[in-house]
Amino acid sequence: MTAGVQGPREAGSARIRGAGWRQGALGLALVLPPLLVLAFLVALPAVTAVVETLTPAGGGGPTLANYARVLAARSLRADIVFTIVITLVSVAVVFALSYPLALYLRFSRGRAARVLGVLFMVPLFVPVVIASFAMITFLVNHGLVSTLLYRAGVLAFPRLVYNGTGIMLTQVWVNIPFAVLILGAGLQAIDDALIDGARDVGAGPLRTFLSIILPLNAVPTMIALTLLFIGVFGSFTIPYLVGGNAPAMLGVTMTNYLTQYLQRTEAVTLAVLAFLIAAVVGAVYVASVSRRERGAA
Amino acid sequence: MTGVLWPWAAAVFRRAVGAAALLALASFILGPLLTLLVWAFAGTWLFPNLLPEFSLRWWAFVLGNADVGKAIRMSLLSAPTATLISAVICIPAAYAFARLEFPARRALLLSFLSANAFPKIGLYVSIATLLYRLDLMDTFTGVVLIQLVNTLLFMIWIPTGTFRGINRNLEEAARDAGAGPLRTFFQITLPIALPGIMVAGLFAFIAAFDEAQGTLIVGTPNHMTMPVLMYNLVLSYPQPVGAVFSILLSLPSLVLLLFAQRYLRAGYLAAGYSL
Amino acid sequence: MARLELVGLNKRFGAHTAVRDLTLEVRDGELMCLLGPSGCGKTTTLRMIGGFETPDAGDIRIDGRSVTALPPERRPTAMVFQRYNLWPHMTVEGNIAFGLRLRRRPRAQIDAKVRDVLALVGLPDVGGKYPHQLSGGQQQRVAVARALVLEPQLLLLDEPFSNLDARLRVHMREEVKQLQREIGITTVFVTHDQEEALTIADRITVMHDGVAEQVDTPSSLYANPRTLFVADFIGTMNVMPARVHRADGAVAAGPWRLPLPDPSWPDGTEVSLAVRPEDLIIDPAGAAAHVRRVMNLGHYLQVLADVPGVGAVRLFTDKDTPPGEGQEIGVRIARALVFKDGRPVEVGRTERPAAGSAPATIQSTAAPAAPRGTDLDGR
Repeated sequence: MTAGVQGPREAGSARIRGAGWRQGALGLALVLPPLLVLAFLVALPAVTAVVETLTPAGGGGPTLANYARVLAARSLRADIVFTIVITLVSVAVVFALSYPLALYLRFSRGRAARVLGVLFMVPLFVPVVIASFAMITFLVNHGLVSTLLYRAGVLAFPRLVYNGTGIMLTQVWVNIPFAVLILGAGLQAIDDALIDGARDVGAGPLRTFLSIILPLNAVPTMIALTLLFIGVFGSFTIPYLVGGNAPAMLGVTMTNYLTQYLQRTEAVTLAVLAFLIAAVVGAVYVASVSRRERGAA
Repeated sequence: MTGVLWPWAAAVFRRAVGAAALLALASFILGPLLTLLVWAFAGTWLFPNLLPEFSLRWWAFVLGNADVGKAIRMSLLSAPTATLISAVICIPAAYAFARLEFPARRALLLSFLSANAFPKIGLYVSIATLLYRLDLMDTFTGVVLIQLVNTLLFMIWIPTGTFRGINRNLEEAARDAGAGPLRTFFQITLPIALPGIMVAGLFAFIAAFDEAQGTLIVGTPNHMTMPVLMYNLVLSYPQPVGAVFSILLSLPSLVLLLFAQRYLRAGYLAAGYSL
Repeated sequence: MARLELVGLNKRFGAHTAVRDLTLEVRDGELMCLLGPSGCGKTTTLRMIGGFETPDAGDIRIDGRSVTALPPERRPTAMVFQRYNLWPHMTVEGNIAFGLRLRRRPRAQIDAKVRDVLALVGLPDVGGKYPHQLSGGQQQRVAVARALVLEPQLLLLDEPFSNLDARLRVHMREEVKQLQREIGITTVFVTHDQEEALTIADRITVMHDGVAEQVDTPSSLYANPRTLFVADFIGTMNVMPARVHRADGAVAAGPWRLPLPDPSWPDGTEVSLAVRPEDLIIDPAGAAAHVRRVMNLGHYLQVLADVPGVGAVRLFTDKDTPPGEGQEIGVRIARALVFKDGRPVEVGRTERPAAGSAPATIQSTAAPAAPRGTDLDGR
C-alpha cells in the first residue's frame, strides 16, 4: 500500500470542492440572458404597474383607492363576474370534450384514431385572430351553420356570436389541442398493465376510469385546468372580435379603458386584479406540480 | 334470441355513437376553417345559398394594398428575428435547467410561466412607457422585443423537457471518448435534441408571428405587423377581405408546419409542459 | 495497460453514504469484478473511476499517477454503460470513429482501426448501420468496440449485459472475457449476478452497503468466505443459528454437534453456521431430516429437507440413490464455517464424492481471519 501522497490528493480534493460551486455558477450564468429579458420586459413593467395602481393621483402614501373605485363601478363588477363565468364554462366544456378525446386516442388503434390524432392538433397552428374570424363566419346568423340548418328546414337560429356563447365556443375551439395534449401525455404515462389489472379484477370501463385513470392522471389534469383557466381568463383577441359590447371580458375592458377612454390607471388596476385572480389559480398549479416533481425525484 | 342479438346490437350502437361523435368533432374543428377558405374566394355570398359566386377580386384588393405589403414585410422580418434571438438565449438556459443544479432552479423555471399569467394588456401598458423612455416606440427593435417576450415560454419549456429526456449516458459516453463539455453539447446533445427544438421553434415562431396586442401599441403607425393590420381589416371591410388576409397570415405557419411535420410528435409538446 | 489503485474513496449522496472508505488495487491485465446487490456502491465506484462522479474524499491512481482531478475526457479510461451507449444520430462507423476524429487521426488510419475493432467484436459488416437497426447484443458489442478502439489503459463495464436475455448474456460475457485475455487490458466489471462474476473474474470484490467485504479469487470466495454476507451471497449456502455447549465441547445446531473449534468460547454464545449444500451428506447415521422436495438439476439433485430445530436446508446429492419426497433421511455435516463475531472458523473438510473412500474424520482448523477493506492476495 503506497503511503498517502499529499500533492495529487490535494488536487483531487480541490476539484471535489470546486465542482459543485462551479456548476451552480455556470447554471445561473446560462439562465441569465432570458431571465434578464423576463425581468426587464415582464417583471419590471408588472411591478411598475402595481406600484402605479397603489399610488394616488395627487401624491402621498400607498392606497387602495384605485381598487376601491374600480370595484365600486357596477359595470366593472359585471365584467369581472362575466369573465369568471365565461372562463369557468369554457374550461368545463373544453375539459368535457378533451378528456374523452384523449381517452379515445390513448386506447384506440386503427385509422379513425390516427386521423383524429392529427385533426385535433389543427387549431394549434391557427393564429387566434384567424380562429376568431373563422368562428364568426361559421356561426354567425346567415353563416355556414345557419345556412345548412335553414336548408334542412330549421328556421329558428339562436344568436351564437357577438356574445358570451360565441366567446365560449371559440375558446373551446382554440384550446382543445392543448388540453388533449396535456391529458394525453398523462394518460400515456399510465401503464397498460394497471388498466388491464383493473379489468382483470372485474371493473367495467366506467369504474376503471373513476378508480384508476382519473386519480393517476390527477396532476396533468390539474395542470391542464389551471393553465386553461389562466389563458381564457386573460384573453383579449377572442372576446374582442367575437364578444358583444357589454358585459365584456376583462381583457377587452382593460384595453378599452386604455385606448378608448384613455383612463390608464383604471386599465392597469384592472390588470392587477385580473392577475391576482389568475395568480390564485396559478398557485394551485405550482402546488400540484411541486408535488409531482417531488414524487418523481 | 335476444341473448345473441343484444351484445351485437349494443356494439353496433356504440360504434355508431362513436362515429357520430367523431364526425361532429371533425366538423366543429374543420368547419370554421373551411368556411373561411370559401369566403376567401367569394365575390358575394348571399344567404341562403350554399356556395357563393366565386371571384378573385378581393385578392387583388388585398394584395394591391400598400399597407398590406408593408405589414407582410414587417412580419416576415420581425418574427424570424425574434425567434432566432429567442433560440440563442433560451436553448443554453434550457440545457442548464435540464442538467445543472443551481439555486432557485425550479422557481426560476416557473417564473417563465408567470410571463403568461399576467394579463398582456397590463404588461404592454407599462412596457410601452418603458420603451417610450428608451426611444424604442414605433421601431423595429421595439416590435422584436414584444415578440420576443411571447416566445420565451416555448423556447424554455419545450427544450428543457427535450434535454431532460436525453439519457445522460449518451453525453457521458462522449466525454469518455475525449470530448469536452462544449463539444459534447454541440456534437451529441444538440443533434439528438433537434426534433424537440424544432417543435419549440415552430411554436415560438407562431407566437411571435401572431402577436397583435403589444405590437399594436408599439408598432403603430409605421411598423405594423400582419395581425395588427388584421384587426383593422376585419372590422372595417367585407368578410372576404378578412378571409383573404387570414389565408395570407396562415401561410408562413403552414410552410413551417409542412417542413417540421416529421418532427411533430405529441410527446415533445407534452414533455415541454412537464416541470 | 495499467494498475489501478483506489485509496480511501468516499462518496455521499445527501444523507446516504454510497461508498465508504474503499481501498482497492486492480493489477495490470486483471479482470476485477465489483459484485454486490443493488445499492451496494459498485456502480458509484465505477463511475468515480471513470470520472463521472467526484469522490468526497480519497484518491484514484492509474499506474501510480492520481487522476482524481481529471475530467472524464482526460482520463485513460473507457466505459461501457448498461444502456444508451450508442449515439442514435450516428452510424456505427460514426460512433466508433468519434473519439479518433477528435484526436485528429488521419482518415485512412481511422478507417483501418474501425474495421479492425469491428472484426474483433465479430461485427465486420455493420459499419454503415444505425444503432436502432441493431439488436441489443450487437449494440453492446459495438459499445465495447468503441471503448477499445481508443486503446484505453482501463476498461470499465457497468452491468453491460443485464438488459439482454439469459442465453445471450452468457455468450456475451464469455466473449468479453476472451477479448480481455487476448488484449490483456485491465478491466473493472460491475455486476449483481454472482454467477457472472464467478465465471469471468480473475478476482472479485464483494461489496455491501458501500464497503468492500472481501476481495479474493472466485474459488477462495466460494470456499473461504470471510463474512457471513459473502458466505450467503456467493453460491448457495445454508445458514443456521447455533450455540456453544461448553459442557459437550461442541457447537450445537439443531440435531447436529460439531467439535468446538476454540475452547475459550463462553458457554451459550450464539454463532452462525454456514454449510454448503454439497457439504451436507446423506448418511443413515446422521441427524433425522424430512425430505420436502427433490429437484433434478441436470447432473445432480438438489434436495430440500426439513431438519427439526434448524428449518429447511438444501443439499446436493448424486442421482444414483435419490431420496423420495416425504421420506426420512439422515444428514450429517462434512464441513461448516462457524461465524462468531463475524469471523469464520472452518470445521471439517469438504468431501469429494468418490466411490468407496471413507469420509475423513472431522477436524477443526482455523481459517485466517482478515480485517475488512484491505486487498489480499487470494491467489
